[in-house]
Amino acid sequence: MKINLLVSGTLYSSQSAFSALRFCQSAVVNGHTISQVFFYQDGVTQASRLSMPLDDEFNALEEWTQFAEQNAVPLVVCISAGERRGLMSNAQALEYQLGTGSSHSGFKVAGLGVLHQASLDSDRTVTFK
Amino acid sequence: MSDEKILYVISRAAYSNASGQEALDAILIGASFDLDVSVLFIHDGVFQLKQGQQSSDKGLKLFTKTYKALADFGVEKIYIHDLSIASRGLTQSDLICTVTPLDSLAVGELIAQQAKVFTF
Repeated sequence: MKINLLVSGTLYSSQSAFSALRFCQSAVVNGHTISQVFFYQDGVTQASRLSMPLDDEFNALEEWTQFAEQNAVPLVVCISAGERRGLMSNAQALEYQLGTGSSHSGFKVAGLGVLHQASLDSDRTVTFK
Repeated sequence: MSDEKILYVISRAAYSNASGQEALDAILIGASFDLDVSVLFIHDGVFQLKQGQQSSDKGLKLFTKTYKALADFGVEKIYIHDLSIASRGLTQSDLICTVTPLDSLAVGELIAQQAKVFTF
């Protein structure tokens, strides 16, 4: 089964990243495919390249980028939700003359249309708030 | 219209968070995909449709008025969970627009009919 994820919970204080990642890992082990992970609303904070949890804490950024690389899963951050919350790529930061971007290079920045297209191309969409 | 049925579930109240505003953004994009779109207000989400909202002194946009205009974007299937309204001391006449009430069983059926569900 092709599964598309919508992740909208904030980094660190919500369980969104942890639950979504465990779901993704189990899905892959059981022979399913994760077609895309789309970060929307407060979920965009999970794409920050500047997050630095303590050594013995769950590291969402590290786990997302590893999972995406190992399973060729696109990680996509909503452009409008990101800009509202200080999350942008180097290209966007350059455009707004704001120096270096804040999103990790493992995440692409795109619009809500990409969320819907991935949903249409998948068998299921699962939301992690 | 495509056969693909897609449902947006609105479950949080307006103003204390941006959930409703961003759900609306997603609904309008979904409507542009020419899908069979439905919207369901449930739990505190029913407060999004409450009459008499005043947002001007809070530095917020009165975005909820867009719900009334969803039909103009081709979104005509708008539902509300009747128990969620009643348990919050509201009735249909307290709402800014006419929506179709569903009991708990019908909510389950609505969700079961969908190809995709987005929850906000």
